[in-house]
Amino acid sequence: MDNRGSDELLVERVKAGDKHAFDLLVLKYQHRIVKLIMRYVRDPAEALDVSQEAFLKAYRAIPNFRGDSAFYTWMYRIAINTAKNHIVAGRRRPLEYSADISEPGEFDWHTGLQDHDSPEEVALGEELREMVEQTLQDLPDDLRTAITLRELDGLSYEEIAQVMECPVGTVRSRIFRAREALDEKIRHVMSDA
Amino acid sequence: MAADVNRNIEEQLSAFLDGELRKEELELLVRRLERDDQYRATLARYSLIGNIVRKDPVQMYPKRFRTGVMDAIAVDSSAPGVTEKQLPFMAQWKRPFVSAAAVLLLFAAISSLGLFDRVTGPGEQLRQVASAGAPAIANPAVSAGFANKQREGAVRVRQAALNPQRLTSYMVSHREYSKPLHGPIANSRIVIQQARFEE
Repeated sequence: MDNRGSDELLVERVKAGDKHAFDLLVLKYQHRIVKLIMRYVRDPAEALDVSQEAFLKAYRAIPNFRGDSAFYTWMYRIAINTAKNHIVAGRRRPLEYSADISEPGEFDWHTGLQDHDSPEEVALGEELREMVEQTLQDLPDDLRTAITLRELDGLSYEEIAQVMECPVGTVRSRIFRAREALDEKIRHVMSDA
Repeated sequence: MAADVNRNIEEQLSAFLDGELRKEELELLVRRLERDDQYRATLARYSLIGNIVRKDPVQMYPKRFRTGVMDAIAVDSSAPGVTEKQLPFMAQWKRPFVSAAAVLLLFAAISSLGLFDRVTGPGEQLRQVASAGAPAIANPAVSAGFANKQREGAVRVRQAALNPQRLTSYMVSHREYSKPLHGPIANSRIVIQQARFEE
């Protein structure tokens, strides 16, 4: 089942009244949506509020979602509109951005978000980043390659299987084992934080 | 054994995050996530790991953010599970006409039973005045006057009720305040106001 198919299944469950299914969609896309909205809304706390509002709007509108586009594309448009409305309503100055925002995709990050984080959050973020990068270097080649192709290059399991010349099930297992190893490191730091 | 089950579920979480979970697995995973917050936390950490690997900003708010959304949804009265289910296109298309037919039938029934005079407006007031005053019955001239006014009142009520414009404004107004099926009618308030002025 591809990404779109699993999202559609979750959307159908939400339409049937299953709020937990929407919770999963929030978990899955929250980082991308917040990152997107932070391109428009300067204040991080405000950006989080706007992101929450965008998800709430999506939840209310989900009975009208017909699946003509992928859920994330639809959610992306809602997030953009919510951010723009927020700017208009508050007459806030939007952040500068240089990427084409007409469609979902990868953008360069130009915000001063890190300057607004508390010192503790900045320190924790740096600690996590160093920990993950170090653990990633220490991983066996096959695990590191698998998760890198997935997270950095955005390849599907099928494509990774072709690149690594192994079954799709093996790709799935390798990516999981890589995440498991990385999670083992950051779990304790995050529970202490 | 339990550790194996746990690893299997965590592998499913990993595949879910990548959109690579099989349909039958997804059903089971969603049900499991409904009752186990621990796996939700694991999913959030996997997502965070992805951010770090991609060198995206590290956002330390996953649980707070998500619970905020879900709390808002919990108190939201317009939740998909609460709202009326979407009707098929033909059913939605027919509904205004069914409502209009029902209103017309109601007016027809009231009219045929001769209830207008008792139900509404000047006819009812005249009837009350006429029935309350015994002298009006004693004096044939006065009684005939009241009867004429009563008939005129009843005619006015019937004309008003069967006036197409007024009936239209009633139905437009009713549709505006009922659950919208095809979006709001832009000039319904103007139509209603016109109907009131004409009265």
